[in-house]
Amino acid sequence: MLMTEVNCLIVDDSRMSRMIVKRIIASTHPEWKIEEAGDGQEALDKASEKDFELILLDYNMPIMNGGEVAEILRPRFPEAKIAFLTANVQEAIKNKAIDLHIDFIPKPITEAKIKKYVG
Amino acid sequence: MLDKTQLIDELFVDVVAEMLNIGMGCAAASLSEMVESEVILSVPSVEFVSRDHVTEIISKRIQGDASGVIQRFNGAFWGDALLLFPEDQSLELVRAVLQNSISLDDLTEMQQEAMTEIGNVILNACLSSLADIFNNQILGEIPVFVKGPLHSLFNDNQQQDLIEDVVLFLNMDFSVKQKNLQGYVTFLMDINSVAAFKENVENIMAA
Repeated sequence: MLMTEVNCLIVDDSRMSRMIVKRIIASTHPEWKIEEAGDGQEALDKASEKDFELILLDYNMPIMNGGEVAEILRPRFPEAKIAFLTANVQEAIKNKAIDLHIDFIPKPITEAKIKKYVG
Repeated sequence: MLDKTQLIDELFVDVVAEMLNIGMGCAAASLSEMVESEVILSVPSVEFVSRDHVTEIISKRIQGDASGVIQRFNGAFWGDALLLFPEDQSLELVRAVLQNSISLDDLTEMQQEAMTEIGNVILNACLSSLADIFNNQILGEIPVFVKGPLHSLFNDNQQQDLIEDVVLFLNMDFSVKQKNLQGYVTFLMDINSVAAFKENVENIMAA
């Protein structure tokens, strides 16, 4: 379970996905601050301005993929819960998550998966 | 120049059809999770056809305009993966996925983005499954939303000499039980990609 004051970052080039994840998290944790980024660069820009305790990262995105973003964000936020939230469910991507010490949540997005992960 | 008769034989067709079955099984599971309804799959078809003929085959299933998603993939083999629906069913699909979570106005506004994401999930489920079977990585490009007459979807971006190219056409139809939805997943690979694909298949069979 994460601490009470939580800053979340949802990184996904799909507005629909961001919207669904945000709605699920906000329904259980209305006090959490949720920010969105539509690509990897925007995620890094936001992460340079404040600290995040929870980061959900799509993998296949324009400009930078989720792996490249995670490589930068994992050392920047060693205590944060970070996960790939992706339709790219190949073993290679799951292994990349393990190598980067982050979690893996397969799409499609469901309320059960998100709630289970964020607590 | 590779000859299609050197590439395709009964066993190869059987193996590819079974792989497509497995890949589409994963894709159907993802779609089923999204629409909370059973997804029924057709028998896969595997054949060599000209790109031009692809339009003809699909137009027997989709009358009028289509909408969907095209995703180019690279890696151990390469090609285009397509998820297509009759245009008049696409809003119904988005509604089935989003259910009551957004208003009708937002639904119409988000139709394109929602279709792209649905395509992303379905096509990646299938491609990921194939990559794992081959113990190889497939790199999917960003999926692109398409809409319009079938002929323009397949041929608009092709040079005239490529339109007559022979491609491996892998196709599976699916329908969502309890909802009036039919969709089509198609993979198109050129001859050189098929040769690489076949090599992967042979490696699996030899292992």
